[in-house]
Amino acid sequence: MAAGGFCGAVLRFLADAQVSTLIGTLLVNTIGCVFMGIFMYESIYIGVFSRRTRLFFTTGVIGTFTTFSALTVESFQAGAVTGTAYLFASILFGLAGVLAGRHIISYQRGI
Amino acid sequence: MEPALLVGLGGAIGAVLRFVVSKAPTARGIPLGTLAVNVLGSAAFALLVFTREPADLMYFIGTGCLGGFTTFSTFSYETFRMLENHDYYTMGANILSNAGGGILGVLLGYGISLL
Repeated sequence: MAAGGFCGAVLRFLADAQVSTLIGTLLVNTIGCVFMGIFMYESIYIGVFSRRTRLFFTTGVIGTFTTFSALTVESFQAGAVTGTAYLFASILFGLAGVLAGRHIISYQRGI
Repeated sequence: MEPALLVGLGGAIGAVLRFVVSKAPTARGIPLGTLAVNVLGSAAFALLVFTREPADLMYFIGTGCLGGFTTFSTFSYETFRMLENHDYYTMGANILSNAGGGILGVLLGYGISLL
Protein backbone atom coordinates (compact mmCIF):
# COMPACT_ATOMS: atom_id res chain seq x y z
CA MET A 1 0.00 0.00 0.00
CA ALA A 2 2.77 2.42 0.95
CA ALA A 3 4.79 1.55 -2.16
CA GLY A 4 1.67 2.09 -4.29
CA GLY A 5 1.05 5.41 -2.60
CA PHE A 6 4.64 6.50 -3.29
CA CYS A 7 4.25 5.72 -7.02
CA GLY A 8 0.81 7.34 -7.28
CA ALA A 9 1.86 10.58 -5.59
CA VAL A 10 5.04 10.97 -7.69
CA LEU A 11 3.07 10.27 -10.90
CA ARG A 12 0.50 12.92 -9.95
CA PHE A 13 3.26 15.39 -9.10
CA LEU A 14 4.96 14.85 -12.48
CA ALA A 15 1.68 14.99 -14.44
CA ASP A 16 0.48 18.11 -12.65
CA ALA A 17 3.78 19.89 -13.35
CA GLN A 18 3.19 19.61 -17.12
CA VAL A 19 -0.04 21.63 -17.32
CA SER A 20 -1.84 24.37 -15.37
CA THR A 21 -3.12 23.08 -12.03
CA LEU A 22 -6.84 23.35 -12.72
CA ILE A 23 -6.68 21.34 -15.95
CA GLY A 24 -3.91 19.17 -14.50
CA THR A 25 -6.07 18.05 -11.56
CA LEU A 26 -9.02 17.38 -13.88
CA LEU A 27 -6.80 15.28 -16.18
CA VAL A 28 -5.17 13.35 -13.35
CA ASN A 29 -8.54 12.59 -11.75
CA THR A 30 -10.19 11.52 -15.01
CA ILE A 31 -7.30 9.28 -16.06
CA GLY A 32 -7.22 7.77 -12.57
CA CYS A 33 -10.95 6.99 -12.79
CA VAL A 34 -10.50 5.15 -16.11
CA PHE A 35 -7.86 2.93 -14.49
CA MET A 36 -9.98 2.52 -11.36
CA GLY A 37 -12.84 1.30 -13.60
CA ILE A 38 -10.50 -1.09 -15.41
CA PHE A 39 -9.11 -2.66 -12.21
CA MET A 40 -12.43 -2.88 -10.34
CA TYR A 41 -14.39 -4.37 -13.24
CA GLU A 42 -11.47 -6.66 -14.08
CA SER A 43 -11.84 -8.13 -10.61
CA ILE A 44 -15.62 -8.44 -11.02
CA TYR A 45 -15.73 -9.84 -14.58
CA ILE A 46 -12.40 -11.59 -15.09
CA GLY A 47 -10.34 -11.86 -11.89
CA VAL A 48 -6.78 -12.39 -13.14
CA PHE A 49 -5.19 -10.29 -10.39
CA SER A 50 -5.02 -11.43 -6.78
CA ARG A 51 -6.65 -9.34 -4.05
CA ARG A 52 -3.23 -8.02 -3.00
CA THR A 53 -2.33 -6.92 -6.52
CA ARG A 54 -5.71 -5.23 -6.95
CA LEU A 55 -5.36 -3.37 -3.63
CA PHE A 56 -1.84 -2.25 -4.60
CA PHE A 57 -3.18 -0.65 -7.78
CA THR A 58 -6.64 0.58 -6.69
CA THR A 59 -6.17 1.78 -3.11
CA GLY A 60 -2.41 2.34 -3.49
CA VAL A 61 -1.37 3.75 -6.85
CA ILE A 62 -4.66 5.02 -8.33
CA GLY A 63 -6.24 6.15 -5.05
CA THR A 64 -3.16 8.27 -4.36
CA PHE A 65 -2.69 9.41 -7.98
CA THR A 66 -6.15 11.01 -7.92
CA THR A 67 -6.85 13.69 -5.34
CA PHE A 68 -9.87 15.32 -3.80
CA SER A 69 -8.17 17.94 -1.60
CA ALA A 70 -6.55 19.79 -4.53
CA LEU A 71 -9.89 19.68 -6.35
CA THR A 72 -11.86 21.29 -3.50
CA VAL A 73 -9.21 23.94 -2.76
CA GLU A 74 -8.89 24.85 -6.45
CA SER A 75 -12.70 25.03 -6.77
CA PHE A 76 -12.81 27.32 -3.75
CA GLN A 77 -10.09 29.59 -5.18
CA ALA A 78 -11.74 29.74 -8.61
CA GLY A 79 -14.76 31.59 -7.18
CA ALA A 80 -18.41 30.54 -6.78
CA VAL A 81 -19.50 30.09 -10.41
CA THR A 82 -16.30 28.73 -12.00
CA GLY A 83 -15.54 26.69 -8.89
CA THR A 84 -18.95 25.00 -8.76
CA ALA A 85 -18.85 24.30 -12.50
CA TYR A 86 -15.32 22.88 -12.18
CA LEU A 87 -16.26 20.70 -9.22
CA PHE A 88 -19.32 19.18 -10.91
CA ALA A 89 -17.56 18.86 -14.27
CA SER A 90 -14.82 16.89 -12.47
CA ILE A 91 -17.41 14.56 -10.94
CA LEU A 92 -19.07 14.05 -14.36
CA PHE A 93 -15.68 13.34 -15.99
CA GLY A 94 -14.86 10.93 -13.16
CA LEU A 95 -18.07 8.94 -13.67
CA ALA A 96 -17.46 8.91 -17.44
CA GLY A 97 -13.92 7.67 -16.71
CA VAL A 98 -15.18 4.72 -14.65
CA LEU A 99 -17.72 3.95 -17.40
CA ALA A 100 -14.91 3.98 -19.98
CA GLY A 101 -12.89 1.59 -17.78
CA ARG A 102 -15.88 -0.75 -17.53
CA HIS A 103 -16.30 -0.64 -21.32
CA ILE A 104 -12.66 -1.57 -21.87
CA ILE A 105 -13.06 -4.62 -19.63
CA SER A 106 -16.41 -5.62 -21.19
CA TYR A 107 -14.84 -5.33 -24.64
CA GLN A 108 -11.86 -7.46 -23.57
CA ARG A 109 -14.22 -10.10 -22.28
CA GLY A 110 -16.27 -9.89 -25.47
CA ILE A 111 -19.59 -8.79 -23.95
CA MET B 1 15.30 17.15 -0.33
CA GLU B 2 14.20 16.42 -3.91
CA PRO B 3 10.52 17.53 -4.32
CA ALA B 4 9.49 14.29 -6.07
CA LEU B 5 10.93 12.25 -3.18
CA LEU B 6 9.08 14.37 -0.60
CA VAL B 7 5.84 13.97 -2.55
CA GLY B 8 6.37 10.21 -2.85
CA LEU B 9 7.10 9.70 0.85
CA GLY B 10 4.06 11.80 1.75
CA GLY B 11 1.93 9.81 -0.70
CA ALA B 12 3.01 6.55 0.94
CA ILE B 13 1.90 7.82 4.36
CA GLY B 14 -1.35 9.22 2.95
CA ALA B 15 -2.23 5.95 1.22
CA VAL B 16 -1.67 3.87 4.38
CA LEU B 17 -3.75 6.29 6.49
CA ARG B 18 -6.55 6.20 3.90
CA PHE B 19 -6.43 2.40 3.87
CA VAL B 20 -6.94 2.40 7.67
CA VAL B 21 -9.88 4.85 7.47
CA SER B 22 -11.43 3.07 4.45
CA LYS B 23 -12.56 0.23 6.71
CA ALA B 24 -15.24 2.56 8.14
CA PRO B 25 -18.85 1.40 7.57
CA THR B 26 -21.45 2.96 5.29
CA ALA B 27 -24.34 5.08 6.55
CA ARG B 28 -27.54 5.03 4.46
CA GLY B 29 -25.44 3.60 1.66
CA ILE B 30 -22.82 6.37 1.76
CA PRO B 31 -19.24 5.12 2.32
CA LEU B 32 -18.18 7.09 5.38
CA GLY B 33 -14.48 6.25 5.01
CA THR B 34 -14.17 8.02 1.64
CA LEU B 35 -16.27 10.94 2.86
CA ALA B 36 -14.15 11.30 6.01
CA VAL B 37 -10.79 11.31 4.18
CA ASN B 38 -12.06 13.79 1.60
CA VAL B 39 -13.53 16.28 4.10
CA LEU B 40 -10.64 16.06 6.59
CA GLY B 41 -8.03 16.12 3.83
CA SER B 42 -9.66 19.15 2.16
CA ALA B 43 -9.66 21.08 5.45
CA ALA B 44 -6.03 20.30 6.22
CA PHE B 45 -4.89 21.00 2.64
CA ALA B 46 -6.71 24.36 2.65
CA LEU B 47 -5.05 25.29 5.94
CA LEU B 48 -1.61 24.54 4.42
CA VAL B 49 -2.32 26.49 1.22
CA PHE B 50 -3.76 29.57 2.93
CA THR B 51 -1.09 29.78 5.64
CA ARG B 52 1.52 29.76 2.81
CA GLU B 53 3.71 27.08 4.31
CA PRO B 54 7.27 26.70 2.91
CA ALA B 55 7.64 24.67 -0.31
CA ASP B 56 9.21 21.56 1.28
CA LEU B 57 6.37 21.21 3.78
CA MET B 58 3.85 21.80 1.00
CA TYR B 59 5.37 19.01 -1.13
CA PHE B 60 5.57 16.52 1.73
CA ILE B 61 2.35 17.18 3.68
CA GLY B 62 0.21 18.91 1.02
CA THR B 63 0.83 17.32 -2.36
CA GLY B 64 2.10 14.05 -0.89
CA CYS B 65 0.34 13.17 2.35
CA LEU B 66 -2.99 14.97 1.95
CA GLY B 67 -3.18 14.61 -1.85
CA GLY B 68 -2.69 10.88 -1.31
CA PHE B 69 -4.93 10.67 1.76
CA THR B 70 -7.91 12.07 -0.16
CA THR B 71 -9.12 10.19 -3.20
CA PHE B 72 -11.20 11.01 -6.23
CA SER B 73 -11.08 7.66 -8.02
CA THR B 74 -12.55 5.63 -5.14
CA PHE B 75 -15.28 8.26 -4.72
CA SER B 76 -16.07 8.10 -8.47
CA TYR B 77 -16.13 4.30 -8.50
CA GLU B 78 -18.44 4.13 -5.47
CA THR B 79 -20.73 6.77 -7.01
CA PHE B 80 -20.73 4.90 -10.32
CA ARG B 81 -21.80 1.69 -8.53
CA MET B 82 -24.78 3.56 -7.09
CA LEU B 83 -25.67 4.74 -10.59
CA GLU B 84 -25.34 1.18 -11.87
CA ASN B 85 -27.67 -0.07 -9.14
CA HIS B 86 -30.19 2.65 -10.04
CA ASP B 87 -29.85 3.99 -6.53
CA TYR B 88 -30.10 7.63 -7.61
CA TYR B 89 -31.06 8.95 -4.20
CA THR B 90 -27.92 7.57 -2.52
CA MET B 91 -25.84 8.65 -5.51
CA GLY B 92 -27.06 12.25 -5.25
CA ALA B 93 -26.54 12.25 -1.49
CA ASN B 94 -23.01 10.85 -1.93
CA ILE B 95 -22.05 13.49 -4.51
CA LEU B 96 -23.51 16.35 -2.50
CA SER B 97 -21.98 15.21 0.80
CA ASN B 98 -18.48 14.80 -0.71
CA ALA B 99 -18.61 18.02 -2.75
CA GLY B 100 -20.38 20.07 -0.04
CA GLY B 101 -18.38 18.50 2.79
CA GLY B 102 -15.13 19.09 0.90
CA ILE B 103 -15.92 22.77 0.32
CA LEU B 104 -17.03 23.20 3.96
CA GLY B 105 -13.71 21.61 4.92
CA VAL B 106 -11.85 24.14 2.77
CA LEU B 107 -13.84 26.99 4.39
CA LEU B 108 -12.89 25.65 7.82
CA GLY B 109 -9.21 25.46 6.83
CA TYR B 110 -9.40 28.97 5.40
CA GLY B 111 -11.10 30.24 8.58
CA ILE B 112 -8.42 28.71 10.82
CA SER B 113 -5.67 30.20 8.61
CA LEU B 114 -7.04 33.69 9.31
CA LEU B 115 -6.69 33.29 13.10
